[in-house]
Amino acid sequence: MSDEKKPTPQPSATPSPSAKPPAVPPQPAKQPSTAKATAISRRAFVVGALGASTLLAIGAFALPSAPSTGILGPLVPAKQGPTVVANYQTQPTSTGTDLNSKYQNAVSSGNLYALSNYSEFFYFPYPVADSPYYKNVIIRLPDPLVNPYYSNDDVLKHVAALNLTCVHLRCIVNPGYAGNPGSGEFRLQCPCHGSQYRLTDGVPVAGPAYDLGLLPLPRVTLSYDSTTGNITAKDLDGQAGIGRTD
Amino acid sequence: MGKPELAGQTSGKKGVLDPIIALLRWTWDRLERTLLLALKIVFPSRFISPLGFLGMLTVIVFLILGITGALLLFHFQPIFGDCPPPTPGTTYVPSSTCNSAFNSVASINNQVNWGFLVRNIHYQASNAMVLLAVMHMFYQYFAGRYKLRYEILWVTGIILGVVTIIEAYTGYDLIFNIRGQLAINIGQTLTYYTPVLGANLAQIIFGFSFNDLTIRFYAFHVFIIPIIMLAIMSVHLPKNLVLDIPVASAITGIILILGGLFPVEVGVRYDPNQLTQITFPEWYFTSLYAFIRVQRLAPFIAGAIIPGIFVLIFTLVPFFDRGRKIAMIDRPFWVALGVASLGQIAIVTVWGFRASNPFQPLLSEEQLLIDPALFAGSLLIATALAYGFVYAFVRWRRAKLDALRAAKKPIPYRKVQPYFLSKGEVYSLLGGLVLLQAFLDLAIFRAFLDTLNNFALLEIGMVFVAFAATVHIYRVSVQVKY
Repeated sequence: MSDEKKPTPQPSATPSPSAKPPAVPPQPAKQPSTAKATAISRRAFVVGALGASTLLAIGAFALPSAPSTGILGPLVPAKQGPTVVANYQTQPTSTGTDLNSKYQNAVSSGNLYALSNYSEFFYFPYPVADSPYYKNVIIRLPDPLVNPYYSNDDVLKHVAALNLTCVHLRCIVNPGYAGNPGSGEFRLQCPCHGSQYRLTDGVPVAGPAYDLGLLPLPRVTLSYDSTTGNITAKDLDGQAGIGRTD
Repeated sequence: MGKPELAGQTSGKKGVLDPIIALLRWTWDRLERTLLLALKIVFPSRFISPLGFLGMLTVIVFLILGITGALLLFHFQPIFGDCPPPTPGTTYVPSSTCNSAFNSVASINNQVNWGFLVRNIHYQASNAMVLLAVMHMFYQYFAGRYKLRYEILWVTGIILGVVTIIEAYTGYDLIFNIRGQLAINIGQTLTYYTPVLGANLAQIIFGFSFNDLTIRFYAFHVFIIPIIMLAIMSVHLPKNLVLDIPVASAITGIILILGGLFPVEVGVRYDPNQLTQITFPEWYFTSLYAFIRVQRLAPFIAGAIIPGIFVLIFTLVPFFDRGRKIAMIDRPFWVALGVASLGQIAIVTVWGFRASNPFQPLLSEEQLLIDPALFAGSLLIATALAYGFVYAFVRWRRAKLDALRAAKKPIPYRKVQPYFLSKGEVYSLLGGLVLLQAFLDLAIFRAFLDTLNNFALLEIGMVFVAFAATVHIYRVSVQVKY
């Protein structure tokens, strides 16, 4: 059986022999001796070589494709380090441009419900040209409100800094006032589908983000320098458009 | 050697055109070795319903899109950022962070010669392609052309339709007006909320920054998705094709006329520093948009699972409708299902365009939220009614025909008596059309001199339609013996 099998690839592989039928008999005479000596038939060797070559060819790509997404990955720009984003003076003045002065002026002129009078927008940790989803706001919280993350800090408890990308469908939310004057409902409001977030900590309180139980808005962690009054943004504790992840 | 043969064929006289004819014949013979002549393209000599070759019309619109898109490539800049406000009286130098994508589209529309025409044709053709593809699908569905070994054609067709819509999506995002930006927001969020793969997938498709996103969408829209479409098309291509020149010309003309009548605006430039404004998406996305706006429906379910189920049902139709009969009257369930789905698409599209209070500005709060009970209720009632009525009608029709057959009475059918034009009518119509075309050509020239771009577009479209009418009248009249 094995003797007859071996020569069959031979005529087809080598088309050169002149006569087809007579070419077969002389070859079996040679083949048995070599086949017995090596113990691996030629067919098995050829098939094995083909398989090994295929595996190695595929394996050539194993290393380049292994390190994460490589060429498909996004171009992530360098993060900004700690950046001064606002100023806060503990002694407000009527002409001051810091957050506290703006707030006290808004209170005295009766503009308390227009949050834009005492809040500032900033892009962090990526500039606007890189991604519009890193728009943040820093607000001097209207007085009964206290930032729960800095309740022990005399200055930072009056300030909230939050990322503004709505976790529902990535519209940019705005600080605003919801509900009846006097009820104290200062909120971050989404113009697209009406999601509302608590001003102090960015937890969704109404609209689709609340209905679907989505994550709160990422917070910008802050530090305060009492000599200059500068407020520095240190980091963002979540992913813009997804929410606070810690 | 070739010449004597040719001369023999043309009654022994040597003509001036003989070498050219010989060259053409030589070329034609050699073309038989190529794939070109293997395609059996039929140019019908008489009018047949264009519903039967909507697929070919889609291909023609795809070619128009390819040509106009290639022209737009020369002027479009896939770069995003926010522009510094131009100072009056100074030469404006765009900085590295400038919404060049929007600015270049605006300049194509307003400054570049022919830019308005090409952009409008590209836009209207994209709408036409989506519409023709959907019409093609529904015609083939009702004609039962998904069975009898057409299954692969059907499934590849469904995939091709989905890819076409994705292609349209990447296209209108590239403009980077507020409409495009809202579509990007929604697309990115939906991708992010995909289970398991979401975050990685969103990074691969949308990149990190908006500039990254622009370049990626540019690559998708211009190269990757069209190549995928061509690959699927090569499988979706049936053996026998019908290319009806007048109808193709008329479709081209209608696209141009629509471009002239309803020129598309560039839209409001997207500026990340400004308050978000809301616009409705393109008409083929308002159905999806309606689901996304429904209260208490998670974005991923609304925007991916529900449309996915809808598409899946259509994909699997040939594997459930196993009967060998293809006539509508023999498939009451499937016909009713098709009509119900059409009704569903219509209702959801209308919901998608609807603000809660149409008299209030869209920007005011909760204008876009849809009450789930009202939404689902209207959808269910409309679908059930459409399904019930159509199913009952088809069954009733079937019973009536069966009764006629049982009584051995002839089955009545309407025979359309074709109207043949008289000799005088043919002459006056053809002469009039040629005169109309000549007049339109002059008018186009005039419109260009006066830079009345949409008039020019409208009139070019009318020339195409007049050409279509001329060819049609010609082919009708040559069949009649006067």
